Amino acid sequence: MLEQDYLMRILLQFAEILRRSWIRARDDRDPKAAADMLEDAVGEATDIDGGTLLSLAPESMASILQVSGTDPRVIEYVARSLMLASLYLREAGEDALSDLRLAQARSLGDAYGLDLPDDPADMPGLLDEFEGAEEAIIDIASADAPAGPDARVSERSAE
Amino acid sequence: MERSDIEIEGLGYVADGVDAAVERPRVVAAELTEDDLALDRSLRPKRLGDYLGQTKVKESLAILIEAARARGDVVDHILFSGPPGLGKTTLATVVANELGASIRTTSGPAIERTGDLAAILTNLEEGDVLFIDEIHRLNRMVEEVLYPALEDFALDIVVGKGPAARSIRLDLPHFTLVGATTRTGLLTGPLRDRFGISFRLAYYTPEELASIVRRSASILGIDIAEDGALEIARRSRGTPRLANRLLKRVRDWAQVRGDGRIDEDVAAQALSFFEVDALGLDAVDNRILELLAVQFGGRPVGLTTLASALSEDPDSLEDVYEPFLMQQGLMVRTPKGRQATPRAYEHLGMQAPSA
Repeated sequence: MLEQDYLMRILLQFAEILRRSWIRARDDRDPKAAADMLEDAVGEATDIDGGTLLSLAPESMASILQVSGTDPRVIEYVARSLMLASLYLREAGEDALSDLRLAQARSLGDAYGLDLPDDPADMPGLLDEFEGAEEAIIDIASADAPAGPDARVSERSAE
Repeated sequence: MERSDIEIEGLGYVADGVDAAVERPRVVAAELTEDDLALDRSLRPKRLGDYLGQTKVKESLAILIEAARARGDVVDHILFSGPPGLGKTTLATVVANELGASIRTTSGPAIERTGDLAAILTNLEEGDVLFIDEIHRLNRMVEEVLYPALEDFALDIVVGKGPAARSIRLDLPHFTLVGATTRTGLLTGPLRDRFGISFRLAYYTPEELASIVRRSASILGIDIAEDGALEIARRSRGTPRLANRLLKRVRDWAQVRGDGRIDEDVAAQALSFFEVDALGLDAVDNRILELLAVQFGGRPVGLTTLASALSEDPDSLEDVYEPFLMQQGLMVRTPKGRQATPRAYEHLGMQAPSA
């Protein structure tokens, strides 16, 4: 249960940062700062030094996250954040970094079988659907949750 | 001293007199300049067979490369050390070409954070050559990350914080690190020990440099006589980079003041015009010798005193000017300070003081 709470908190924070980064990029017209926000969030969520993780070659990043045992639901947010960061970095004129973020997002998508948009420009459309993020996250967090000790107890009680 | 007031490509502004020389770029500086970069690209040998000089180093490299190729393995990590301009970068490229491998080039100061190194290492392909120039200037934290990469071809990444922190090992492709340094003494012991083989590049003989000058002249389409190449070689301070740079300057001079052909006379006149004397010393070098021999009357002079008199900082004096003067036996360092040698007096056309 504690693990689920922790996971939910991470996902909620991620959702909030995605929203804030969008405001930063669009309303404040500061796409670089928006990308920085997302990159910081990736480091926080994965508990790996963000500077190192985000420097890794795409395949290496996917390998490290797989070995580290980071929850796949967090990975999905990481991948989406990277894709959005790629869009912001392109707007900020940092094409090489934008390409790297996109390649990293796609590598995570391939490794975890994620359904990511082909073009980072499609990400804002997905964000529009992000209204009511909390409910959506709670759904995601609870949907594939592995059965914990509580679940087993409740199953036994039912028997 | 011949005075000049002229602007020439690649030299920057050449002002009047000896004192002004301290402020301007040195034509005999062995450090890489923008002008050298384009020149280097066209003149750099690609294979060991094209590389002139450093015979012993070449032979050893040929054996290492052939053995590694026969085993289907990567070559041990290699360290090249020696003064600037002797061909450390060129040899790294030659090693990669001989192995049929790609080369990734970077430098110690460019790798500021561990993430930078992680990016480089994880983007390498199997068998690649990674060249780190000025490897003695690597940040210590970065150096720590490099150790497992060199020894086990692995990158350790820390996951989590505090008591929950653990290390994850990421396998890297097998690669060969080629390090280059002008200051072997500044390399840490652990890093130095991780190189399988270390080569110290020596200054080139005038004959070797003359061969290099002739090869470069042929590539650049310059008409040069044997004695012209040797004259440039003699004034090039044992450094190929400098020989190529002087060749270009002499070519310019010969084009404007002569018929374009370079012989001994033309080379000597052109190099005197550019204030490079028969020993390859420029105005600043000669000023140092004059200070030691005349101004300080041949007595030992401390580094800071000499630097003040020259309007230079002590580090530059120690790193840039002194090595060649000492190597040529024109200056000695004694416990009491720097002193001009009898050869310096002879070079200046003066009588050495009696002991």
